[in-house]
Amino acid sequence: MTLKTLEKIFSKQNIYHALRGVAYAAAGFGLILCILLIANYIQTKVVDPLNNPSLTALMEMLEEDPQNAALKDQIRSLDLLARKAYFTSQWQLRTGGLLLLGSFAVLFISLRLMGSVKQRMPAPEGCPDADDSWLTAIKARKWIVAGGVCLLATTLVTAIISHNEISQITFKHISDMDSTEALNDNWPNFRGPNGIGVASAEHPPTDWDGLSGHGIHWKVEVPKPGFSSPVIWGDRIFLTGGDNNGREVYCLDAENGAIRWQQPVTDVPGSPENPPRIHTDTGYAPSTVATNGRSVCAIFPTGDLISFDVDGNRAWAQNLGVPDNHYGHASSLLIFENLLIVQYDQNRRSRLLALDVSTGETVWRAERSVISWSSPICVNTGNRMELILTNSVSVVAYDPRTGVKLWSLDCMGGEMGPSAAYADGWVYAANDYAVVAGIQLTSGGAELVWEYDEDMPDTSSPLATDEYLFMATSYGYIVCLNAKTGETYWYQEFDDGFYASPILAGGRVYAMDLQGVMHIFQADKTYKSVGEPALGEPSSCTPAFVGDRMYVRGEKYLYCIMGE
Amino acid sequence: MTSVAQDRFPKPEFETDYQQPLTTTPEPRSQAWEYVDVLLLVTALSLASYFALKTRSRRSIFILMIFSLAYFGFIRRGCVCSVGATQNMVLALADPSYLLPAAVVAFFILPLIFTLFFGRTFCAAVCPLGAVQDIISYRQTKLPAWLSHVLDLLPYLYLGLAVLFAATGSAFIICQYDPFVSIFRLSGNFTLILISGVFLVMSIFVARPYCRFLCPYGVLLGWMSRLARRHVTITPDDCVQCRLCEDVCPVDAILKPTPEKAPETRAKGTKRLAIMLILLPAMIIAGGWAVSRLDGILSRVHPRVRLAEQILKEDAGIVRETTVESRTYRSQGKTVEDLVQEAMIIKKDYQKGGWYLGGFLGLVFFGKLYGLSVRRKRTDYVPDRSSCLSCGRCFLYCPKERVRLKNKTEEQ
Repeated sequence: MTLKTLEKIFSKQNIYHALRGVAYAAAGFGLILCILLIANYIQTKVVDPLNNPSLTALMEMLEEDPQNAALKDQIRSLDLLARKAYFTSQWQLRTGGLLLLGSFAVLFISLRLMGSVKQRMPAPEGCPDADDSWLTAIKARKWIVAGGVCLLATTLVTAIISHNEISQITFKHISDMDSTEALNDNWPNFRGPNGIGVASAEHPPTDWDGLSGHGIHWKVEVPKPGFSSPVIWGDRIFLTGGDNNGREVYCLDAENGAIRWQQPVTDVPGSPENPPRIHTDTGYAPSTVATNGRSVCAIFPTGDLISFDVDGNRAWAQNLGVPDNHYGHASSLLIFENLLIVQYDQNRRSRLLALDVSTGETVWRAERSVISWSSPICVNTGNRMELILTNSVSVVAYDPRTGVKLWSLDCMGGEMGPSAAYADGWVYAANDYAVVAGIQLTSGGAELVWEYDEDMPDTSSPLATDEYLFMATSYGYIVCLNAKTGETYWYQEFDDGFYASPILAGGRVYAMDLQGVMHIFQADKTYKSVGEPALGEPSSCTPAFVGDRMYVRGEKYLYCIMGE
Repeated sequence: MTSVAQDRFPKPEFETDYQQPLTTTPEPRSQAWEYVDVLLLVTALSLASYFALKTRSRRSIFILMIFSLAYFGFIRRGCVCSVGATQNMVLALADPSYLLPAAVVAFFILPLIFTLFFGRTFCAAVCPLGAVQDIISYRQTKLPAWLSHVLDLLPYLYLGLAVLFAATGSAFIICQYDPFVSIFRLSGNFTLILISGVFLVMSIFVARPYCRFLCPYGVLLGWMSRLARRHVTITPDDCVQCRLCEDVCPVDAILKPTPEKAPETRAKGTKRLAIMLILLPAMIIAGGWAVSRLDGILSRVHPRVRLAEQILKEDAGIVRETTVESRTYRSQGKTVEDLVQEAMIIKKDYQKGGWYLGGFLGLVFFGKLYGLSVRRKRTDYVPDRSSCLSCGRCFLYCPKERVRLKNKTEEQ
């Protein structure tokens, strides 16, 4: 090979072309890598390997059959596969990033060398004496002034739109606190506001006679039977009734007891053709409805969950699956903010659900493992809202907004009917054949402070004040304990037992026995009876108090009793 | 990525005797390395100044630039950097309880001191952010001069915001949105990678876009450089006005000689300056008032304000999803009212800070308009001390420089 040939081969033109080829190759490679990396990144972000439908389905199958070893192996394999896939994609991202950097380095080196091979001499244009910098300055001044004005205007518009957002939300927050007051002025769910059995009534009635009509403002027959209690919002009363032939939701006029609307619970998707056999002590309408003044939600032992607006228009309905419950589902509903809380405890696949009141869509779900017949309460502990549930093993608190478990204490036993009580940072749970537990809330959880194991309720829920804890038992005892120590202040024996939960109203405790006699006594450390007015028929339902009126359901009738 | 993986994959629930390995955290970097960093910074600054002012070697500057990119960029992963150190300094001044590492002080102060003596040699060859843009710069498209003047204002705005956010303890936005850190670390979230990509592509066609139109530290360096004791020159000798360097500066930092004849009458110029001076207080007050009204939106950068808003929205039922932060706050036993109170105090700080920031921006606008209204007489081609990055690209375009190099070679 001659020198001339070599010179020809390594001519500037050829070197330039070679470098251009390298640059194209590096750019192409980099582009392909970019596309692959972006695709990989999106896949990593979008695909949620641990929540893929196959894995979820397998997990649900495992819940049904927890001892199935083959299923466990299958889940493990799928889980391992998901993890491998995820970490492989991570490796691909890292390696791809390095390769991309390398390709860019080759590209820029080629481009620089190309530039040096074909370097051009500068060739300034225009007249050397032209003062174009001054013309530029004039133009720049105009643009800067225009830009400054635009910036100022944008700032002001943004300021007007965004200013005082916190104040506005704070105002909204305060407005919502007003709606909390509205909750307190009504009786939105079982055992009233927060579900703790405390009424805001100042002068509730103390004297009536259902048979003679003395003190009774009105009484109306409820079309179908049920142990659910009345719920009141404004001038409307809501309750349910049901038997083997059908279940219904009623709205009555609080002023005269006239039925405003009566809606059958039919055509619920997934509802069983024939209702399950239910224990007579439970009946087909044991759960109390919940309302927020816009929606009314009801649940039945068939698993049917239904929502109406306050005018009786059906909003949504669904069947949660026929509960595996030997007495029949009896837990009542509760509405917190925009969430309908459903305690759906049963022998298998117990769960706590929070559904959007407006749509019925599940917002969160917490798995539970033990059956119960109690109802949730939701209290403001001063630091946070806690949704407190009892079951046949434990007392558990959840964050009502997320379903995150806040604390849990294994201190219960038996078949849990009574719901929890709350006052002054203390939670109380009780059940016959178990204990009465005094639980003090701490900054991060709860501590079991005392236990009491003599006279305990099995259906009626305990009632707490800052100083006292009252319990009404199925065999006719009412007990008063020191709320902070569990020490017995007094107990009183009556002829009939109690299923209805005692309510605190106007400084007095109202406890209805199974024969419909209301035992009214002062909330005090000694037993001071105020009266024992009778309804004239048996009752197992918990009364509702709004203003100076009391609404209570007997075996057949719903009563409105006026206060003093 | 690791944290994403941790979020996505809980620990496997083994039913065997498998012992979960203990989580270990890497040892902190030895403090001795901080001294090494500072020592290398001083050395790099000294060499950059030497190469720019004494040897006038663009090649040496370029090699030093590669070293700085490798060490301060890829090895040190872009941290600590002088640009971001501005925020640490501001926070230390605003909050006496904030402990300021000596290395951070050194990284902030040393480039400023060197600039005060030798011009922006830090930008030329030491700053890894500048280096990465300079190295990939290929086809330098010149922006219209008027547009460059307008875009010159952006670094002041960015600096002002960065100072405000740092002083209120809200965020270090310079670091959060560092366009090149994801390249140095070969990782980052999607937004950051996108920003990096945009700046990289832009750097190929427009010389040093971040340095010129965004870098907040560049504002401080520009001020120092105006006062620099010595500064690079295009020619090593007298300018022969050959015009060969006229268009070669990639960052438009070469000022042309001005014609003898004034473009406007003295009276007209004086009148415009008088109007501007009268408007100066109005510009400062209008700027201050307008930005102070942005306290609501700006204060949302502070995590406590965001948390307060989140919790209030949760409580008001405006949002349904809670966040880790809101759940954590609620579990700490503190009241919402305390948090709202704290957020309101931060908002007031922003209101006050908004006055300073707006006033500063008003002053900057005035300064820029003033600079564009005053005609300074020049007889030679000279670098604009404020915007010249001392990169040395113009050296070899000067025939006098070529003569100097030839003479030097002959002497050797």
